[in-house]
Amino acid sequence: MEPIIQIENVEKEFPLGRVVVRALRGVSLTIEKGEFTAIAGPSGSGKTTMLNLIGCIDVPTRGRVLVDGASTAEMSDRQLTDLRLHKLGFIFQSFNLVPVLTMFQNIELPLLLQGGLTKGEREARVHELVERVGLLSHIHHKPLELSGGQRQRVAIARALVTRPRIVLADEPTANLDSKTGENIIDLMREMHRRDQTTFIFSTHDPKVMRLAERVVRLVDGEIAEDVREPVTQG
Amino acid sequence: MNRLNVFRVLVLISVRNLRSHWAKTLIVGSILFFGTALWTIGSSLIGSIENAMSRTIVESVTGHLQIYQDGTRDTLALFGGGSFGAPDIGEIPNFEDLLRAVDGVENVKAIVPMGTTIGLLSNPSQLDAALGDLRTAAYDADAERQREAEARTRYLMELLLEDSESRLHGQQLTAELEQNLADLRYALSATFWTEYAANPLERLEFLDTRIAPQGTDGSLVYLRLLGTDLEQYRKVFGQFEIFEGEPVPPGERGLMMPYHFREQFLKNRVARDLDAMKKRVDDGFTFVEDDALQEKARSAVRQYKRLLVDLDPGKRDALQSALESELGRTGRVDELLQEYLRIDDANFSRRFAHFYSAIAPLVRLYPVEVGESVTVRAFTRSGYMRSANLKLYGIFHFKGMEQSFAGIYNLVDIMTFRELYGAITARQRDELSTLKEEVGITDVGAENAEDALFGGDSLVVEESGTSAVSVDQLLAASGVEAAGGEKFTREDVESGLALHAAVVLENPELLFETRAALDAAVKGANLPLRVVPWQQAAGFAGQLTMAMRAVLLFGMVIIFLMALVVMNNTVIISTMERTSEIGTLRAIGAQRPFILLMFLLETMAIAVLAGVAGALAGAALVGAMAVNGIPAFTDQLVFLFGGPRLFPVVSAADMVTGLIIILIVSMVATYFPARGATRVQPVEAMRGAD
Repeated sequence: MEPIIQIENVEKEFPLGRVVVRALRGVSLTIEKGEFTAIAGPSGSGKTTMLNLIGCIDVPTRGRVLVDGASTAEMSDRQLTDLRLHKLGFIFQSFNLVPVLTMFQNIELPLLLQGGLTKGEREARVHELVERVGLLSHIHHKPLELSGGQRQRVAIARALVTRPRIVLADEPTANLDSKTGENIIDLMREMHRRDQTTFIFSTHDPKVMRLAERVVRLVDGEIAEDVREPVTQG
Repeated sequence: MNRLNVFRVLVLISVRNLRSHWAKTLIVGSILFFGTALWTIGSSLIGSIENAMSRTIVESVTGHLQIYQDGTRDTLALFGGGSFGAPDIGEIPNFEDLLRAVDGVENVKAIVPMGTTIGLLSNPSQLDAALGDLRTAAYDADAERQREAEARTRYLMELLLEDSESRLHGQQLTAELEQNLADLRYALSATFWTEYAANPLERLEFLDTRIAPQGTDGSLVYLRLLGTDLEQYRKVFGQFEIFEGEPVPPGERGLMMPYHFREQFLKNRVARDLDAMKKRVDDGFTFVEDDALQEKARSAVRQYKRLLVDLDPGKRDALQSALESELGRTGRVDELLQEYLRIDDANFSRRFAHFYSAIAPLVRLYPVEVGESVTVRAFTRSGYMRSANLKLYGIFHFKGMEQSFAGIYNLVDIMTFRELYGAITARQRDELSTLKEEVGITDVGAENAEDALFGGDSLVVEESGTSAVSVDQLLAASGVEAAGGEKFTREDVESGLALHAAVVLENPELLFETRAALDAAVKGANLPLRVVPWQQAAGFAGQLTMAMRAVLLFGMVIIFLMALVVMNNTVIISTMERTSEIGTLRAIGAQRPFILLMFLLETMAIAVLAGVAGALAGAALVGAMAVNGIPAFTDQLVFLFGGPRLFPVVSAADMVTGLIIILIVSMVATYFPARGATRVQPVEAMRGAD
């Protein structure tokens, strides 16, 4: 196994008015390539912060975060953005689709930003993913015409369309009912199995947690538990 | 290829966003639309006015550049300035020096010497003539002539009284006017003429001093005089055209009168009233509804005697028969004439045509006809009245500018101008020095005036006892002025004084380059002269367009500032609303310029759409105005429009400028908030709620 994410003694502080909130207090964690990991914990435990650090959306106050071997702290905004574009895929709690674009256009967008593919290749890629998330009949709908679950499927397709090394999902089920949420996690796991893409998602829902292969539990900015267990359905 | 794809998706996002926020788009779009439309209309109108006016000004008097003395108190203002009376614009003592200095400067087609002054046109009035006859009759004790002259004098005084009384309408009755009226009534009374019979010479004095000055019928008219090299002028100002008569022959003195000046100031009042009615009727007014027309019609009837004043018996009979056949009845001539002049909607066009075909040839339409001589008086630079008898050679106008104010100047040869202005010719200087020797004056310069005048050992003061006598006084006293009638040569024209000079260019586009070249040439020859573009030489008129441009610009700045603020606000709100979207785009890999471009494109899209629509709408409106032209309701507008109607032309440059301004305004309004938007952190994507 080769490590794809290395977090070394990371501390992250946020100024909040006059006080400084210590969101992460010295966390070290290694995630191997192809893992399907849940970062669990109550709200305020620092799981979103950790995800942001992994996702190159934020850089640590102290310590190092290595994504695919490269340390994020020394990178410029442009380099970080590039890293996100080419190696990472994002799934958000609130789906975050561009409201004025159709499903197809939303999914195609990262490919356009990346460049390099022909129109035909892009279309094939998008179609394949839309088919996999089961929304082919809605491909030209706008986000507002879709249900929450459908939107999150679109978001998954968008995150995977560039064939990223890591997909990060921040509470992907938080805005969904539990049945739909479980379906979404199932879909993510299916994607993970098929492409061996590394998935990291945060959640506070125990039912969702159980679907992960590895659960890292955070409490007050520290790792309280790191369990690898076989997947138990239901 | 890829950039194009990214761009395409950006345009898509922008346009879709505009569509989904259509109310906002509509508001911003309307402001930009009206801004551009207004700009297009405003600058097209001003540009058209500028064109019309510059034609009027440049092609009639100023040429493209004017040269005159540097550092004078007043500036050259050939089309009206702020100062009353004659502005002090200095002089070019010897025009030849200027010609020599600028010889060889490129792009100069011609330089024409000029000088302007206000003149008084006087020809002996009919009253003066009648009084003259009366005087002769009194001296010769010629009873027959006396009776005839007395009848004419009384008749003319009756006209004058009527005229003065009719002019009183709505006017404050001043003591002077009251006195004038009283004098006239007295002079018309039986008492007066009884006294006259007893003592004609003493009563003639009364008529001469109290009545004659009141007789204004064409006897005193102010006119703007432009003294110039008439031969050159005619050649260089290509639109100049003789309407009647002939040009003043080279080397001769003479006067050329602008068509409109004669029509408006010298024409017989009745004819003038008819002309005014014609113009108004042509503008679509009717006698029934229009007060101004009714007033003109009444005025024509009141003034009917003016057609009869100097008709000899033969023409009077011809007039009578013409009137009788037109009116279809017999009667006394003045009664017929009054009926003839009672004009309404039904008979106007017939009467108007008939008047010019049958009546006008019989009566005297103008106090001075082409070929006759008039006396032109003017004040010299130092305030003495000079006069010159000039033959009126012709009436002129400017081709294509017949209806404009192009002909505000009566043209006179520059030799006559110099005399009226009080310049001294070489010959006069000779005579003057002879004179000085006789009287015993030496020239007294300002720097040694005190010594010369009060110095104990000065021979001048002791011997002659004269104080500083001005050259003018001497000339006035000596009668040196009467040089008229003599022929002059080209050398005479070029070697003397001018007040300013018009420069006409081969290619007016190079105005500023040529101006610089001329300036350098003039400075190089050490002449204390300046070269100014026509706008600066035209005075008020030239500045008017600049003022209009300034007003337009001010208005536009306000509108565009408003647009700027509104757009700025809109974009700020939009970036705030879309924080989550921006964060998401940044998180999934969009670089900062992508975000910047997204917002810029959005406003650019509105600006381009609204701007193009606005420019086209403005152009369409201007085009619509150009179909029938914009009528000039007042004389000032006639001046601005260079004619009775302005046919505005849309310039593509104005449209493009408007568009560019709109784009710049939108860019500026968007750039800063959009740059703020690029600083939105990808983290924001995590916070967003749908």
